[in-house]
Amino acid sequence: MIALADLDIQYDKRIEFNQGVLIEHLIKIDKVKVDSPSTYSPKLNELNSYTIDTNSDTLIDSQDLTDIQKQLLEIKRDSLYEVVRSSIKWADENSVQKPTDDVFDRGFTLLKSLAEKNIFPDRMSPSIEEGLCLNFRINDLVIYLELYNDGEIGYLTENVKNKKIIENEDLNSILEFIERIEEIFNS
Amino acid sequence: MKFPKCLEKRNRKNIQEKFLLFFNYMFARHKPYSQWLPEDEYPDFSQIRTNQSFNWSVFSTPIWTRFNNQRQYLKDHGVIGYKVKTIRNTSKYDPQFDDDTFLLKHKPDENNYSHCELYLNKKITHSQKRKIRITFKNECIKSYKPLENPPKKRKIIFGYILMYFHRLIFNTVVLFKNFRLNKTRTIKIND
Repeated sequence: MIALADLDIQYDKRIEFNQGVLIEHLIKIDKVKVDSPSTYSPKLNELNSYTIDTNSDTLIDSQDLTDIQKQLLEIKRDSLYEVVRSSIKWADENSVQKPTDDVFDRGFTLLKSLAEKNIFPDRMSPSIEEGLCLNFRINDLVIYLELYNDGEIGYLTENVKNKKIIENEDLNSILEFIERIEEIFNS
Repeated sequence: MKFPKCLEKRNRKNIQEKFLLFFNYMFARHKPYSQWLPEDEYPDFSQIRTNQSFNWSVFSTPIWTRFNNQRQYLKDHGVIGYKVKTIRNTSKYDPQFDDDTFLLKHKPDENNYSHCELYLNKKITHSQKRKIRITFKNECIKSYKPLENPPKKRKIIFGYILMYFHRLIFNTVVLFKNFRLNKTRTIKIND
């Protein structure tokens, strides 16, 4: 937390929001370090079935990102690794296909692109519809983005307060989603 | 918790779909963390299925949904319930859907007579599935949260009351339908 104070943090609403996540994560890492160092932030070679992760460090080293963005992106990358790691067991338990390498690949790319815009998902999990689901929360709005194994992409925006569906769209590319979520964040 | 003997199938027959009454509940269990975070009110959207196994409220209390096919009591699992009406009236959420988008069938297992299965009757798009899944999520009732153990006695008793009340109405409906059927047969024979 002290280290955070030294960083040149630009306070916009997204950074402010994600700072909570960052602090929470640092505390979590501390706890995990005491219990079992290998349970969090799995090393690349532990991800047996996953082959594209060699790009992920260059993903974080990008010069387009500020220090705080890099740190947040690292947290989200670790969460995604966790999803990769647990998805085989999860798929077995639920009798569905696990998210494919291509889906995770697109997930990583999306994380990087969104990090540049100070947008970070709150939660990532394998989807029962066979793919990856990323949740973004902005006040009362929750956006559920699903990247499906069959290559399709779609998102649903819900107002969680009055349980109303605001949008439910299929998309042609991740770029379309980035544009749309930026609009939502800026509105 | 002991496995309830009355959940066994014991030569009992399958029940026709028409006897799954609109106000009956279908209970589903969700694994803690990977399907339902304990701090959340409901299971995660990404884990809501359009094909799902249920325990029917006429023959099961919500807490019995925690028993798996091997009679193991999964004490940490959360339990939610959908009304049959929610599952059947899909046209209410979107006029594009027909009311027969789903098939809900009573499919007893050896160790779970109340077992029902929800199937998709038609091929629908990812977008339509998302809409149905979020509606299911928003319309469900929460019976037991994950890690809610031991459950409150009051809740268990309420589960029994609900089951016997639903069974009473179910038996009345079956009696009434059988009576009408016999009456029609008698009239036909007399003619």
